[in-house]
Amino acid sequence: MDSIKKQVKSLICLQDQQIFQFEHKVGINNIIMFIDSNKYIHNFVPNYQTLIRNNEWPFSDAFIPTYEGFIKRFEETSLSYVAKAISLFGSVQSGKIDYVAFETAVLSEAARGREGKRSKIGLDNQQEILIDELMTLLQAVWTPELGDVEEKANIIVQTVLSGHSSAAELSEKFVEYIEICNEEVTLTNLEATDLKSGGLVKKLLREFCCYSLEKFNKQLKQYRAVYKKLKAKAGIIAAKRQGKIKLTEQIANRIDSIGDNTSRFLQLIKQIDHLNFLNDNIDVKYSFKSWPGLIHWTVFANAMKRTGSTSSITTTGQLLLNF
Amino acid sequence: MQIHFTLSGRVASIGEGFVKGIARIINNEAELDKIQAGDIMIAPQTDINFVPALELCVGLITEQGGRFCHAAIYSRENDLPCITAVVDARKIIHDGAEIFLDTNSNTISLA
Repeated sequence: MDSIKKQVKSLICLQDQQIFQFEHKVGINNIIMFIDSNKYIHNFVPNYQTLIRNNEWPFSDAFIPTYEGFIKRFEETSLSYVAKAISLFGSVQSGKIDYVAFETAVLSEAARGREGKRSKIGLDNQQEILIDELMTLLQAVWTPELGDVEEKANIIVQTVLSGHSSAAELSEKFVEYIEICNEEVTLTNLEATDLKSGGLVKKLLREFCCYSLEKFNKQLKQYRAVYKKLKAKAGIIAAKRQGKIKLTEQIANRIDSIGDNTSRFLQLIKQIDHLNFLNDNIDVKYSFKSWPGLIHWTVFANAMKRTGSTSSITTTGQLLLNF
Repeated sequence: MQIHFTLSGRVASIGEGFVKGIARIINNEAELDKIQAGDIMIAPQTDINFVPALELCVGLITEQGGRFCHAAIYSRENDLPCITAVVDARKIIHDGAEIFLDTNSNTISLA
């Protein structure tokens, strides 16, 4: 999985670079103060989803990209979505949301949605195409004594094999924070707790808590309640992942012994794993469910308020004309 | 009064296979504090903010979601019995009802 790891690390590195620059320029305290005073912070995700589903976005889904083409476009779009959120931050913070800001947000969301989970040419569709090919390959070499082919395939393809799932990472980091620091975080002790925890506070804030101290402290309270359970579980998920990697190797050997298509099988496993990682890690931290989404949503909510709409912004294009 | 029902959806994770618990309707993230140990969470869908509350649950039912949704990924990784795509689960199941979640037979019913 080395080449995939390198590629995702490179994407994370580029995302972090622009986010660190943003924090440096605006100041993390300013970002936090804005986010915690934003009235949409607690419900923007379901509202954003309604907006996505109720509007037609300006992109074509006529051509399904290849895996390589999809990855390139997904990475570019992911970086661009965060960059656009950063560029919109000033307008949103000052409440001066104009036509340019609105158009920027609409086009940014359209691009994100094109690669997104529900798009006909997006992430889930890419997964389904690769899994179908994998199943065909497996069924051709499978014999009944190996067990249920679909069950075995599901074990392999539905897990991030090459690294953490975001849920496991979040739990692990909060457990670590509780062990090191276990203090509620305020604007006053932010720098001190971050330093004491080796950077965990800011990492959790930016990647999992939308830069909201209120969310951070609420999650801290919830994680304290399940701390012992999570400690007891530590290592089990990693061991399970190792078991799945072993199973993948066994199946690869089986295919190899028949002398057919091993390289394509291993390539498919890598590609599916890559998409799993984008879905379960990159999409969680840098897409509309995180703080870049809140920035975009604030622009959309403002536009809907001005036009009296409750869910539509793009269907007729009238808003663009009337704004 | 809760009337009898049998619901099904898409089994996302088998986990223990058969569990009994208190149905807890979670409409959004703000209601997560309602969750107690041993509950079966019923939500439209889940995301990363639901993780600590899910650690207390013995089962999960969602109204939306496909094979790559957060609920499916989390429950598979944690062996939590989970059925997704259960239409109108929050309308049909009452908050506080004692229910069975059977991922072997893809059924949800009143205990």
